[in-house]
Amino acid sequence: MKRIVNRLFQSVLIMFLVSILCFGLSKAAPGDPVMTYVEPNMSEAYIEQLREDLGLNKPIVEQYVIWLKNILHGNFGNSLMNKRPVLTQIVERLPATILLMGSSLILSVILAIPIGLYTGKHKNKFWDKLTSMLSFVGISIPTFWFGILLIYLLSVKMGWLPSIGMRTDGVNSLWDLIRHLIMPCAVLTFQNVAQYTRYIRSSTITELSSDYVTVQRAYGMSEMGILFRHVLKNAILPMITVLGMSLQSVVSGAIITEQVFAWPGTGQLAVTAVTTFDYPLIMGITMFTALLIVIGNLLADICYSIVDPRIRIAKN
Amino acid sequence: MKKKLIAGILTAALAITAAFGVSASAMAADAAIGGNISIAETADPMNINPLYVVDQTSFDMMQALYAPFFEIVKGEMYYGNGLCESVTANEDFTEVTLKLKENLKWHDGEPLTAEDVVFTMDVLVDSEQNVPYQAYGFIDGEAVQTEAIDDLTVLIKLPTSSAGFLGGLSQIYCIPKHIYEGVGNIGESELNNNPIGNGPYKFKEYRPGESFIVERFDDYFGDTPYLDTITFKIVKDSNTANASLASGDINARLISSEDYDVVNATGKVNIISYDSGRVNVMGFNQNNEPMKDARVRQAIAYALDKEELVTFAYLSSEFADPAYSILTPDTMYYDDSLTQYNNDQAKAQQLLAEAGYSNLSLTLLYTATNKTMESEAIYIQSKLAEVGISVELYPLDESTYKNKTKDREATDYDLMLSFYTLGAEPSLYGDILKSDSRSNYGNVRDEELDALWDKGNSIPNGEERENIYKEIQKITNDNMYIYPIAYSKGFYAVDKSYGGFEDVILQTIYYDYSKVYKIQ
Repeated sequence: MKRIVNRLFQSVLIMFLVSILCFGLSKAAPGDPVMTYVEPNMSEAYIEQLREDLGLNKPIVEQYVIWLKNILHGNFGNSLMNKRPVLTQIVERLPATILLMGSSLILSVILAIPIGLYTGKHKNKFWDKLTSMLSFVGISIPTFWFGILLIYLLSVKMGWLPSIGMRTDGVNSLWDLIRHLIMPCAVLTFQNVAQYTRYIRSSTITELSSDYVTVQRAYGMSEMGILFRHVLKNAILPMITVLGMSLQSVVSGAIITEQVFAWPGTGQLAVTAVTTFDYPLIMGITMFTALLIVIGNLLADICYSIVDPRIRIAKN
Repeated sequence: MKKKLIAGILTAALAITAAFGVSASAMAADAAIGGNISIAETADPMNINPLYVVDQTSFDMMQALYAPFFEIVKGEMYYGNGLCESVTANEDFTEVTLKLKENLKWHDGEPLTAEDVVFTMDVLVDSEQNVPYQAYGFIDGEAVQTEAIDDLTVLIKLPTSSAGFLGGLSQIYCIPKHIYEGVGNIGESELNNNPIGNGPYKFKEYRPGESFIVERFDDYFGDTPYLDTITFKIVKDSNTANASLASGDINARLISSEDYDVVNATGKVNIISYDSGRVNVMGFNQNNEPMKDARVRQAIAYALDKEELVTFAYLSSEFADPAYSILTPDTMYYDDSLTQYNNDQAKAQQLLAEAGYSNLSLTLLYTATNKTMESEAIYIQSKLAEVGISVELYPLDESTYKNKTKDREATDYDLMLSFYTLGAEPSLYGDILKSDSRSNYGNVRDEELDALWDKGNSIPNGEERENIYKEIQKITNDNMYIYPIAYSKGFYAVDKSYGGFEDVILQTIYYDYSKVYKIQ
């Protein structure tokens, strides 16, 4: 318990440091946010007013303090781009992102565990080698390229799936949503499975060479029993860390995939924010993401100590 | 938004009113009534209120919702899709009378009257409201005054004579008094998220990051729009947008010349090209010493082969014409007889020697994501190397580039690639050359030229005004303040199952969506 409180305290400190760093960086970036919104026929008075409205005339430390105060009151400010509240904009993009990232994360875990176990068990056999090769392809293939390739094949050539967006106008069915989800989800899942399989495969190999497996074998337990009743439990432990790290992506979205498939999630919002110097929005998204990384890691730590008695005991 | 600037007017054209009239078009023979078109946009709209529109997306969407007062098409008044039936000015151009069409309605069913026009003009010149286009309501720093004569007649009094005023007025769109009256900060009002317009289509739904949908307005004053709905789909990635055009998920899209072949090869679209009114130029940053010398600027112009540059950067001579003036060919008083600096390396070297420069090293700024600019930059770099000028390329992402070019003190580049779209009224081009203008990218400071711009804006059309603008073009060219590169074309790719687009793009800034239809 004391450790968890300790970790919570650390997390707050990390968030604070992250906020300073992000604020400093977004301010240090070249360019003046006001100038992004200025058009040649706007009057000087209008531009000055704009600068003042945005609080950009104040020294940077003061701007930070004002921003921090607002954040602590739950006020993330308004976007420079369209004047709408930052929090509203993030929240309205969340369902799309959670749907896409969540479904691909779940699907990835479901696929990666059996594949990882199987290839670990059958190390250096044909299927292991094939999976390894595919894994490397999955890890190294550029998302935008793979995405466009799928669109070209499945939408343009075959006409099976819609190429962009999240739903067809005027259609409100689950099937329509799934049809839109298939390609972006496939791109992300392919990438995730490629990574996760590598983790599970290697931990399966390690576990299979442990003493307890030899003992189980000596007792005459079936290979399947050993694999699923004993090895699995230990082999998926590294996945807790990996999933903890991935938690933020469920909310921050996949920038490139969302862009390619015009998926209306937070990843797209982040790109827009950056390209328009919309720093309240940049800060909002960054802080949100940072918070989830911290929470994800915290949860992973807690889960570890629950499922892995060795860690609990070692600490005590 | 560059596209938003624009337009000009022949005073004589004011007399022509009914000629264009509401005649518009009889119904196209192959047109279906109903259906939807999906038009691709590259970003979410920032603000749909027509007085506060500054980005391309909002502008495209706003035009489905709001009708202009009138338009100026190739220098002539056009009332077809406008709220006005006629616009007349008195002889010395100090009073402009707008006559509205009858039975105009807002999308919520309220009548649109002269009071709305007066309200709009008052908001425009109200400094508290910070309308980005408020400069259009001021002449020599003084606001115009607007009053309603009766329900359909509006009188605008100008503080002094201004032939350029109507060019600005054609950019202003009426907003509803009954909605916005008493609102302190209209630009940031929540009301803008549920726009009440007067155009062919009314607002239906906005899904952030996804789409903006409008539906037919049955009480539209013009011909009944064909389509039931228009869906503006937000697609940031241009490769995806091209693929979606081929798959039919998108039906229309503004494309760049680099996309032309890819999109054309799908065989599913018609590509409509139109004069974009865009002048692509190279600027010389006169904050830096070598660029202050006219001989150096001329030498650079002589070192380049313009025809070759245009063919190299714009891929085909069909995509752009070499430019020799700072004005477009359809701008009033365009001069086609200017001295052409062209491909004379000996002359270039001689001028450089006279100016006392050898082994000159220059930095060329442009937008990294703009392929045409990149090609221009590469060509210029290699061509200038032939006369002993080494050019360092300085590509920046679009926002940073925009920031950089708006900084009138910047010294970290010598040459810069840019473009502008300012329309057919010559006075508007002062923006890019006047000493005190923010868009004076070359930091040109020429008092004689400033005086000419001011004079040209305040006298009525005629021989004297013509001579002023010819003189301006000559001075600019002789001093090589700006190196015009090309007048480029715009391309609109439209699914073959849709028609009416020839009428939609009136070669101006306004798209009349009521003319789009699905082919039966």
